[in-house]
Formats: sequence, C-alpha cells, structure tokens
Amino acid sequence: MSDKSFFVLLWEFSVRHYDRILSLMLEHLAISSIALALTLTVCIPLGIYLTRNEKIAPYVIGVANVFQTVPSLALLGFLIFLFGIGNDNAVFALFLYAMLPVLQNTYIGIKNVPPSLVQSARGMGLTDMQILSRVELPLALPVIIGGIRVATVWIIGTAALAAAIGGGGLGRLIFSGLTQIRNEVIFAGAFPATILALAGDQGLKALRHHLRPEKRARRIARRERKFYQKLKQRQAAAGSTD
Amino acid sequence: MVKFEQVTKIYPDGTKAVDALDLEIEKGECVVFIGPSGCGKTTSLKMINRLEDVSGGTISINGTDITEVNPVTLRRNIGYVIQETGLMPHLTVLENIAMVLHLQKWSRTRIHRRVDELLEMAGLDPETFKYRLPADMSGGQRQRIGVLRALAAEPDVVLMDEPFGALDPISREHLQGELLELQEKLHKTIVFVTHDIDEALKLGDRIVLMRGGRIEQIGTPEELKNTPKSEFVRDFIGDDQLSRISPDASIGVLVEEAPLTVLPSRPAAEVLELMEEAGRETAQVVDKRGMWKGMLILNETKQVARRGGVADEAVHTSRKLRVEDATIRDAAQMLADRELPIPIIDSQKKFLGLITANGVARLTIHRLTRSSQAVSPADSEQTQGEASA
Repeated sequence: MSDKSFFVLLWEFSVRHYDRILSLMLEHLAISSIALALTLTVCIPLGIYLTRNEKIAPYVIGVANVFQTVPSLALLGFLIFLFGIGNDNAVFALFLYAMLPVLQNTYIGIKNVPPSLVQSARGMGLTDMQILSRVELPLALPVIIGGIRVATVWIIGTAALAAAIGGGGLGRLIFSGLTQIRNEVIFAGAFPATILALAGDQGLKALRHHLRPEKRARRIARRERKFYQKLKQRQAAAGSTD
Repeated sequence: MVKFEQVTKIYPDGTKAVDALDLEIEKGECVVFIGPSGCGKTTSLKMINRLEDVSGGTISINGTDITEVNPVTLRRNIGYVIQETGLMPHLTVLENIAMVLHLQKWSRTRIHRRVDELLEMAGLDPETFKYRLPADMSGGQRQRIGVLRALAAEPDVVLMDEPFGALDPISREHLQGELLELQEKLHKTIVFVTHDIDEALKLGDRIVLMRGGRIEQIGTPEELKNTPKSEFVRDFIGDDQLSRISPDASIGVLVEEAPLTVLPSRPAAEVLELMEEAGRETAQVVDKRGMWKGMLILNETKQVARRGGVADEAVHTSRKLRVEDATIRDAAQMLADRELPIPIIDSQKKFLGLITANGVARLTIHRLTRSSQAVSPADSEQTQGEASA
C-alpha cells in the first residue's frame, strides 16, 4: 500500500487509465442500452397485449415479479447454464430483472385510461389501433415512462454485476479494485456508473414532463394557432385584392 | 331512417336485455328511449352503431342492414355523445371536435373552418375556445363540445346516451334548450337515451318507454301523458317527476328561517313558554356567534324545565344535516322517518336554518306544476319541426 492520499491515487489512476475508464463506460452503456431496448420491445407490447387479455395478466406479471425478486447476482448465476459466461448472459439477466416495472406500468397505465374515453373513441369510428395510438398510449405515457425510468436505473446499477460472470462494463473496475484492495480503482468504476444512472433517471424525468398530455396539447395548440393566424392573413389578403 | 325489426339482445350470461324490438325512426325525428335502469334503452342505442352486437333480428339504416357495413365506417357516419362527454383530456377543443375529420383526411384549413362554424353555432367564441383543454372548461361547456364533435362530420343520425345526465340542473336545462334550437336548424335523426322523464317530454318528438327489454309504449309526449297504456306508464311518468327533484340537488334550496332560536344559557322554563306560545314542538339553540348548539324537543325541555335547568342541557345534537354534503334525498328520508324539522349547519357548525316536511312538499308541488307546463312549448316546437321538414 502506498501512503498517498485516496484522491491523489484516484487522480493518477484516472489520468493514466482514462481511455480504459471511458471504454468501459461505453461498454457499460452499451450493455445497459441493449438490455433496456430488449425490455421495452418485449414488455410494452406485452403490457398492451395483457390489457386485451386480462385473464392471463396476473400470471404474466407474477412471473415478471419472480424474476425481479430473485437476487440479481443469483439470476446471473442461473443463466450461466443457458448462455455461458459473458455479456449475452448479462444482457438477458438485466432484461429479466427489469421486466416488471415496464410491464406493470404499461398495463396499469393503459388500464387507467377512463373506459368512457375508449368507448367514445370507438363510437366515433376509431379502429383499435387508432384508439391505442391516439387515446390510450398518449394518456398512459407518463405512467409508462415512469416504469421505464425505474427499469433504467435498475439496469444501469445492476449492469455492474455483469463483470462477475465475465462480462464487461464498469463492474470490471469495481471487481478488480475489490480484489486488489485499491479504493481508487473501485471508485473509478463506481463513480461513472452512478453518473450514468443519475443521468438516465433525470433524462427520463425530463422526457416524462415533456410528454405530459396537457403539455403536448398546449404545444399543438400553439402550432395550430399560428397556422390559423396565417390562414386569416391569407384570407384577408385575398379579400383585399378582390 | 333507422329501423329495428324483431331486434333481440342476449348477453353471454343469458340475460335478455332487449326482446323482439320493433321500431321505425323517421328522418329528422328525435326519439327518446326511457325506462328504469336495465330496461334495455342504452343497449338498444349501442346496437345502432354496433358497440353492442345484435343477437337476433336486424337493424337497418336507410334500408341497409348495419351488419353488412364495416363497423368503423358505420360509426364514422353516426354521431355519438355520451354522458361523461368522452372528450380527450390530452386534446384541445379543436382537436377533439376534429377527431373524426382527421380520420376522414380533411385538410387543415377545412378543419379550422368547420370547427369555427360549429363553435359559432353553439354560441362559443372560436378564438377563445378552440385552443382550450377540456380541463379548463365547465361541465356545460364540455358537453356542448361533445355535441359539436358528434355533429362535426355532418352525420344524418346522432346517438346521445344520457348526454346531460351528469350536469347540474341549470346547465342541463340550457343545453336541452340549445339542442332543441340546433335540431330546428339541422333536422338530424336523433336517438336519445335518458332516465329523466322531464327531459324526455321536453326533447322527444316521440318517446319509447321500455321495461324489461320490451317497449311498454311508444308515443308523442302528449300521448304518453294523456293516454298511458298501462299503470306502469302512468306511474313512471308520475314517479319520475317526483324523484327528479331530489337525487343530486343540494339541500340549500330548501333551507328556511328557523321560527324559534334561543341562547344556550336561557332557562329551560322560559324556552318552554316561548315554544308553547308559538305552538312549536322544537326550538334551536344557537349561541351569540351563530353556532348551532343543538335542537330542543318539547317533552324533554319540560323535564329539564322542571329541574330548573337551562336550554343547553336539553339539546339533541344528532339530528342535523350539513349543507355541503347532504342532498334533498337525505333530507326527505330523514323527514320520512321522523316528521320533526331538520337543523341545517355548515362545516363550521354555523346554523343556517331548517328543512321542514312542509318545505319539501311545497317544492314537490312547484316542480310538478312547472314540469307539466314545460311540455307545451316542447309540443309547439315539435309541430314547427314537422311543418318545416
């Protein structure tokens, strides 16, 4: 052990290995993004499907709940039988782990759309797809994004464990720091991972705010108002030339 | 225009909601379905735009069996208004009204023109209302938009499922009047469902009174009132006029000034004298700040007076209604149980007045006479409508 202070060690390590930290950070981000993308492509449609087949909903959500309850490290261990060691295993484990919030929030978000709105949309002659895209999804979006937000934070956080089963990402630094008992190495992995998680969380929070139904409506209203004023001006111009 | 032939609806659980319904609705006519809940009126309406499937028989519009038309196409040509307005909270008035127009690929310019036209027709300033969200409007305004949305694509048939049911009585009357005016101009074929007999009498060219999935009687408001076919029809028209007064109205309109209020510290013997002099069985105990302390009842006041106590010692505090949350129905039920007046207080326990059995009776008579008068203008408008059609 050296007698230099922790911060000096951290600084020296970061300067010497910044490219490695950066590439691990990108790898971490890649693993997380792929896992998140997988979660969204599976769970959002599945959640929508469950609102149409409510009888099976409790079972499917129950299964997702089981995956979420199994300790994440144990889940990675189980999956070694399926995928061996490496990033595939990690991505799949993260996907299973993060299913619940996205699935559940999609299901609940759509279920909470007042039936009167769906009925009046259907009565107006919207097709099932149009009801989904113009009524249910826009209204459920804040809830769905809330679920995605939870899933994102979980995935980025848990992705650090991928290194434990031979995967990449910032977990590498953390684990190698642990084995070498070098705090600065642990910290060089932990700190960027934290930043990633916080950034994801805040980014999605902002997105949710931006996509709030009323906010969206006011944006459209502004656009339409502008269009209408132009229309009036054109009409006035045409009127004066007559 | 719209023709029901032996139309039957049986739900999967075996309930027969509609049983062999035969009905022909003329073009430009407003037909009101009414009946007790579960009589099949809403089901009959929803079968027209295929929100409910027909189990037996046929419904045809302009001679075309509706099952031969794609339900989506069918619905786009039928206006539909429901009770909860069904306005999309995430869309502005403009987009809400234009929903069907968007589906029919109208140009943006044309949509703006049409929406302006509709809003003006309903007496709403387009500039002010076009960009509002449903949440920024009153219930009455929202429901007006709901009606306009149904009219946007100029459908021949408009279905209205208790459209004014959730509104306060004043807005409801306004909207009913506006609907009559619109109908005079537009002559739509309207199928209207309500549970409010006054509304039916006011709006319907013909009324279809249903019971247990069958038609009890069809006729003009006049015919139903003057020549009811059965005891049920008579009762229904009578009953509903009575029940209409109460359900959701606040007790506020019924509160009258209390004839006898005393301070809590007043000797019971003196209060007793006052009560006997005024011929009252009860008195209200109210303190200097106007706060209600309780109600005195003659017999118990006598006992306290004999002991030489004060008013405050004899009070009852359980019999009361709070003006904020009690309805006329609550008051009527309390009065039916015991004929003593009901003290009315607010949430701060401030004493506001009394509700008496007499007051309720007066209101009933008032409403009955008023609603029978309301039939005649509706009749004259009906004849006007027929003349111009």
